Amino acid sequence: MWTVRNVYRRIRALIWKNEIEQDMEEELRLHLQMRTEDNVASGMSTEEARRQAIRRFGNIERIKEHGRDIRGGGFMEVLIQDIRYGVRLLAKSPAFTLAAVLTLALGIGANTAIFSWLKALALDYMPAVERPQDLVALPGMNADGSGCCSGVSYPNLLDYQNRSGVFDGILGYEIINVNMRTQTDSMRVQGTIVTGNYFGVLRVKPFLGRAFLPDETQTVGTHAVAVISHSMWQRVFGADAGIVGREVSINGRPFTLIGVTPPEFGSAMVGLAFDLFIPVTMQPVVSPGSNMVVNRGSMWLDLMGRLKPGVTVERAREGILKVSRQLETEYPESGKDKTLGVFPLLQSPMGLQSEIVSVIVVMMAVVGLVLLIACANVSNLMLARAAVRQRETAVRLALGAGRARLVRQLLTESLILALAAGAVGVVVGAWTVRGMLMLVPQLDLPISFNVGMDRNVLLFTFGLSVLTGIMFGLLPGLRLSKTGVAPALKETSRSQTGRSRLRTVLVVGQVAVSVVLLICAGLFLRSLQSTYHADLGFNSNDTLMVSLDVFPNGYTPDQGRRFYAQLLEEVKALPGVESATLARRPPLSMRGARGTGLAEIEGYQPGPDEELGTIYDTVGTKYFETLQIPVIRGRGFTDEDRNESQSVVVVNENFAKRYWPNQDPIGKRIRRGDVWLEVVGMARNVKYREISESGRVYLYAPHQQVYEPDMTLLVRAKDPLSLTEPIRQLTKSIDKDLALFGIMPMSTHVGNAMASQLAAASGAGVFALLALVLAVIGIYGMISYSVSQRTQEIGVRMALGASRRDVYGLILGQGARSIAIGLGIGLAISAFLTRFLQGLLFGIRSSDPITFLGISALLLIAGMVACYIPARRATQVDPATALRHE
Amino acid sequence: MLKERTNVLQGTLDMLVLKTLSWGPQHGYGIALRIQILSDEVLKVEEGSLYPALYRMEEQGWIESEWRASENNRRAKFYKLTARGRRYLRAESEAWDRLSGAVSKVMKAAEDAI
Repeated sequence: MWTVRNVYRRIRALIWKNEIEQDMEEELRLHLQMRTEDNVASGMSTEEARRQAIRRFGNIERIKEHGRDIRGGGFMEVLIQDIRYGVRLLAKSPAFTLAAVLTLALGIGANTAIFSWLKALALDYMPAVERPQDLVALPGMNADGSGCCSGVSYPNLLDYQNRSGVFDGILGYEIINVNMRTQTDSMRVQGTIVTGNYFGVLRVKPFLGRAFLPDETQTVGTHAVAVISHSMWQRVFGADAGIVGREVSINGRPFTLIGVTPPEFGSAMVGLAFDLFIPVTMQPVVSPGSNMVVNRGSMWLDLMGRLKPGVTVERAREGILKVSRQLETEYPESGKDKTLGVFPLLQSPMGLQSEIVSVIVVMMAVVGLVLLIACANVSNLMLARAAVRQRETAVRLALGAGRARLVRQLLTESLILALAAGAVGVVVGAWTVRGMLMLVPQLDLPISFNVGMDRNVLLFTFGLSVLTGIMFGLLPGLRLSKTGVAPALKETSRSQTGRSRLRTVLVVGQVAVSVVLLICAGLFLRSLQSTYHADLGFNSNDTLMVSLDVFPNGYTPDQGRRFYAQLLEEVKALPGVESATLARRPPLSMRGARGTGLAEIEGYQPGPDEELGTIYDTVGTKYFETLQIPVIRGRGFTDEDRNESQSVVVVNENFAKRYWPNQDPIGKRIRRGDVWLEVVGMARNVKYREISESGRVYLYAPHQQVYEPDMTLLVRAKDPLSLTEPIRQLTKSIDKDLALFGIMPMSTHVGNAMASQLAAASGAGVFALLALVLAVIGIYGMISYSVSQRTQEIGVRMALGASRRDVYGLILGQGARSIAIGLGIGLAISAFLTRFLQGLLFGIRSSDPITFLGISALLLIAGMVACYIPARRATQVDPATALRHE
Repeated sequence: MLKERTNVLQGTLDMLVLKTLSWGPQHGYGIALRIQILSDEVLKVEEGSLYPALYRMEEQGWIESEWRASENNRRAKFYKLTARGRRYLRAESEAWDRLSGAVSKVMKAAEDAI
């Protein structure tokens, strides 16, 4: 029957349903008329004729119905009927509908969120780039596969590209931070130095302007051109249409902007979006003092290639190896057995995406499981309802409804629920994604993922909703359609023990899982709490942080020292400033402090295998006063500690205790390389890298003696943020090509350090809540079903004298049993598992009794509330009606 | 058993309708009338059987329909035999001859023919 012609006719029938109706109506009417006339002709009266004709005709409606069935116009009509019936039915039981939609929405939403990430990382990971599947990463490594990953020099890049014969092109890039000055502002910009063919190999079409021309990237230092990102064009240049040709100053040198990248484009690196693209030939200009472009030994570029059509990764490897061997013979001093690895982007050892993708895949499995549990829950709920509707179903069957029609109608109902849940799920998914993005750590890299609700994600959600609807709707539908008409009409309500065992196990399992998740979340939350209250060792209130970097602008150490000294003097003189200092890596910075080896520590005999070393920071004068770190012995740094004077250091308590126990550290000396350092002070311990650390040894050195070009200004004042503008003006007046960045109150900086704790607590919290909601709904469904099955029994009990309280006790007792078992199992599992979390917790034991007790109480309350509603329904059973059900 | 007889009856009706149409296009009432007259009033086709049969045969492509003016200039839906229908009619006709011939032989057989 499903030939092409028939399908075509059915579709036509759908469209011209009305016309088919009219068609039949007219045809049959004519037939009636003609028979009537014939009857009249054979002698009957008009009325008699007509009556006979109608009688002869039989049931017109049935003929039409038959006709509809055959000709197919009926399908649409039936569907609409089913939909309206389904919606009405769902509206009549709002509690069920709400519970079902909520459950499914959570499951579907979680899947949508994870799918968005999958799309961003594995499917649509290089937006605006044509055919990223033809791109490969080319890290430098040894021929035997070890030693990954190093950079490649520019001359080598050219040789690989031109000689290997397997690439359409090879591009190279390297991250660079620069100070950019426009007509109005100075700012720090994260950019990349790229080869001239960068946009060509990626096949990215500029949004405005153009990419680099070949002769612009031939000779070093000739064409000072740059491309900016769409985001920067909007943020900094206000989407100015005349941006092409605009001049800016980068690290003090003039550059011309020639193009703007498309809005979605980030860079050649997955997950990173840069604002500025500078050609390789300008590298010596922006990094004065080094010319890495022509140097075959400068392995500074990361490479990526586009394979020629039809070239496999294997062939590419051979081609690359061939060139590597040639280069080895031609330039033996560059080392032996070095080559480039060839990896499809998603498997590249350079980026993080391979790890993240595997994490995402695991998460997909997890949320898939969550959705299955949600479906099982809703299936349960529907079964409870189906049992109640058994009578109605039996009647409909007796009246001639086909079983197929019944199943179809139930499926329609399920699909309505599922699609509604899908719509809510999209919102849930969007929120979840937004939440997850907020938890991405704030590294010093412009992380930007292409995570968003685009057409593909919506399509996925829709498909998943339909699948979900079919999954949980099929089972009750089939059960219902198997209803024997006679037994159902006789209303023998025997509960099916086999099925209910499975149901109970499912509910107990859900309760146990939510207990485990809730306890983990609780522990993380308490850990977060102690983190907030931890003693950091310094006072981060009322302090402003402003970072600068003079290196890009080509400052010599002397110039740098003078600059920072002058800046510090002038900042201290600003009104409202209580004190100010410098530090390279303030405590709890995301980028850790430097480490150094120490050749000798006076008075300390190192062990046989012990290597002496410490981490240290270079700081300005008045450092300890500004951050209110007590200097327990000796002093901090003063203006007397100049470059020419005796090299001094300040140690922390741990250092002194470790190397000079029970001795006075003042006056002791430490040798670093050739230089002897004298200890002039000992400061109280501070949290240097993480809040959860302890026992770190630490050293402070004065900036004038141990110079670094990138420093952070720390300014203590009553209203720290108000000093931002004055400091900006001050800096501008000294050197207008310098940019300030990382401007924030120190309390925000400290908050960032807690980000990982926050992330763990939030993530676990969300999952735990999800599990709890599902478990509660599961309990509700189970008890609800049980009540509907035991209506008769309850009626009997009440008739025999049971009070309402007794009925409550009966039902709640049943629920309490399952909850208690689930709770017990959950607590046992938690007690075992949480010890593995101890490393992540701060200030709290993994067996923290308050958490365990609190969660148990929470679960018991939630569970009993879930039982309450069906229990109340049970007490409202009218014994007389219930008994009559038999 | 009951189902089979319905099928046989249904198939036979189809054949009769197609035969009627083989003499030229006709509308539903006309088909019923023709069968009635040709069978000497023995076969009176019910409307409840006729129209479903016509719709079904149209779905299967044995007949086509067209709204035309009838003998007395009224608008009526005329059915016409298609090439496929003609082929089907021929096949069914032969099958029916075989069947009815066989049945007759058995019914008319003398007891001692076995």
